[in-house]
Amino acid sequence: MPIDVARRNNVRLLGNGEQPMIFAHGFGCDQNMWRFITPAFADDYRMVLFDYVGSGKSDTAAYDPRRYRSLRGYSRDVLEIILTLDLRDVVFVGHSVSSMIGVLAAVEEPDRFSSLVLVSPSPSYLNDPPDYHGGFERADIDGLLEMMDRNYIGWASYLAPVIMKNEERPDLSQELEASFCSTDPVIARRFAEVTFFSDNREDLAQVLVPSLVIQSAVDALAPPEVGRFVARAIPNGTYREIDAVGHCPHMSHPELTVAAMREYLRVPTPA
Amino acid sequence: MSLEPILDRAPCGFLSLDESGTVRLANTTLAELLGVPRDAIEGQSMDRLLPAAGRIFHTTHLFPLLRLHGRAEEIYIPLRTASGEEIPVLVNGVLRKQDGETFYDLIVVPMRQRHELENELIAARNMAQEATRGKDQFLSVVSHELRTPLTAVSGYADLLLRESRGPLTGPQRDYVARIAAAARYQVGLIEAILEFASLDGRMRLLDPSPVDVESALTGAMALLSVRAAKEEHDLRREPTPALGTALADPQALQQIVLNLGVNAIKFSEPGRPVLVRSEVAEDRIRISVQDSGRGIAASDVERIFDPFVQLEASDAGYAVRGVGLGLPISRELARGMGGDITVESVVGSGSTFTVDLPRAR
Repeated sequence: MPIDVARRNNVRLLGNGEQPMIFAHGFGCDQNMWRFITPAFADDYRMVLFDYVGSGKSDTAAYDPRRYRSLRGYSRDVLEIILTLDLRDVVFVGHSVSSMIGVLAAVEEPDRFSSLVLVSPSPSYLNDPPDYHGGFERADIDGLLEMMDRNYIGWASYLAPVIMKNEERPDLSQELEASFCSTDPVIARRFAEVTFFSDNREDLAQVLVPSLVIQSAVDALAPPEVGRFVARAIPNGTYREIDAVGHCPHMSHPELTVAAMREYLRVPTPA
Repeated sequence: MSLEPILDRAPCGFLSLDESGTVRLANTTLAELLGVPRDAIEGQSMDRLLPAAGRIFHTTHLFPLLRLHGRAEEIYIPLRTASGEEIPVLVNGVLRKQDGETFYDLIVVPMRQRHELENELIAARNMAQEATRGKDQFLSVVSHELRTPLTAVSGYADLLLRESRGPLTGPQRDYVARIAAAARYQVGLIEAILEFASLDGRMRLLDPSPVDVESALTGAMALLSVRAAKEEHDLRREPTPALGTALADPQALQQIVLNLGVNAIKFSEPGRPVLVRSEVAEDRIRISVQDSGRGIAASDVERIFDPFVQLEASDAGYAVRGVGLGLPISRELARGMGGDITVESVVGSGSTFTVDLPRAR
C-alpha cells in the first residue's frame, strides 16, 4: 500500500498561484511558524505547508527511528511530498535545520527545484577549530537535551496547549493560535540530536539550484559568519543580511523577511 | 500605593523583552538574582542572560511559543549570573501589544531546591526505565535460550517412548517417561514466566465485552473435568439460576477459571470434592472455586498472590508443583477488567477463591 504522504506530514495547500513554494519548518515548531510569511505570497504561488513526522499534526505513528536518524530521512519526506504532488519548479523555503534538509533534497533531485530560500541556515552547529565556528560545543547540546527532558516532563501546556479564549485577549485573537507546536517529546529529542550533531558543510558545494541565504544581523544560533559560509559554499548562493535580531526573523521580522524573498524571487511588491 | 515599586521588589524576577529579544525592562529582584545592576541588563539581549544551551532552547521553544501561542507556562531554563553561575528558574510569559509594538513579559522564579529534587527524580526514572528494559530483554533472551534445548529433550524422549527404534526395558521406559515429564514441566514453567513478564502488554490488550457466564463456565468445566477425572476428584458445579452476562475479556475469564480450577484440583486430596459456584449480586458477578485442601494460614493469604510463591512445594513432585504464577496472573487479569480475586480459607478444611467481575448492563 502506498504511504499516505499527505496524512503523514499533514500537508496543507494554500494560495492561488501556479508555481509551487514549499515551506519547511525548523526544529521545535511546526508549519504554523510560517503564518506571518504566507499571506504575502498567496497571490503568486501555490504554497505547500507540512509538518515533519513527530511535529504538529503529523502522523506520529509513522516515525521510524532508522529513517529519521539523519537529516536524509527528513529530506526524503520533502522529496516524497514533492513527488506525490508532482511539483516542479519548486521554491523551497526552509528555516534553520530545514535549510540543510532542503540542501540535501536539492542535491538529490535538482531538477525539481527552481530555487532555495534558506532562512538562518547553519551547516554545522558544532565548532570545528580552527577554521569553522558553528557556535556550540557538544556539552552545550547535551545541556539542551537535558533542558528538553525537564520541560517535557510536566509541560502539559506545550504538548497540548490550552485553548485560549478569545475574550481573554481580544487584541490578539486574530494573531494567536489556540494550539500549535505540539511535539512528540521522544521524537523531538531525537530530532534535536540529528539537528545539532549534523555536519552538512560538504553537501553545500553540490547544490546546483540558485539559493538565497536570509541572515539576521544578530543571531545567537547561526551568526552572520555562518550564513556567509553557506552562501559562499553554494556555487550559486546569494547572501542577504537583514536588519533583524534573532534566529527566527520570519516570526520576529516578517516584513523584512518577505521583502528579501520578494526581491530575490522577483515578485513585485503590491502597490 | 503604586504598583511600580512593589513590582520592582516583588519576590520574583520580572523582565520585558521586545521583538528582537532585547531586555527593555527588568526589576531589581532579577538584577540582584543575577548579581548585576539593573541598567546592565536593560538594553542587553536576553541571550546574554542565558548559557549556550539556554539560548538554543529560548530560540527554538520559548520564543515560538510566546510568538505564536501568546503565552508560555512553567518553562524551565537556566539563567547565567555575573559570576558565571547557572541558576535554574521557571519562567511564565505572555505576549503584550502596546502602541503597535510587541513585547514579551516574563516572570522568573528560581527553583534551586526543586531542581535538586528533579535531578534525583529524573535519575531514578532513568534507572527504573533502564532496569525494566533490561529485565524484559533478559527474560526474553533467557527464556528463548532455555526453551530451545528443551524442545530437543522432550522431542527425543517422546520418540524413545514410541519405541520405533527398538523396545525399551521396563526401567528404561520409566526413566524416559520421567525425562519427558520433567521437560514438559519446565516448558510450562518458562511459558508462565514469559507470560508473567509480558503481562503489562497483555493488560493493555484486554477487551472487556459482555460474556455469557453460564456458557463460559460450561466450557471451562469441560476442560477441567478431564483433569479432575484423571486424579479421581469429585468436580462439581453447584446448580444456579440464570446468571446473565459479565463484562469481561472472554479469554482472560476462561484463563482465570481454569487457573483456579486446576489449583483446586491440585491441592485437594483425591476423591474429595471441588466445588464451582456462581452468583449474581447487584451489579457484580461472582464465580468461586472451593477446594478441600489443607487450607491457607491467615498470615499466608496475601502472600499467595505474590509471584513465585509456593506454600507447599517442597514435598510435592512435578505433577503437583506449579510455578507460582497462576494466581498473580489471574488476579492481575481480574483487576485489569475492573474485578478482583479474593480468598477465604480454613486451615484443615480448604479454601475458596472468588473472582468478582462487573455485570454487563
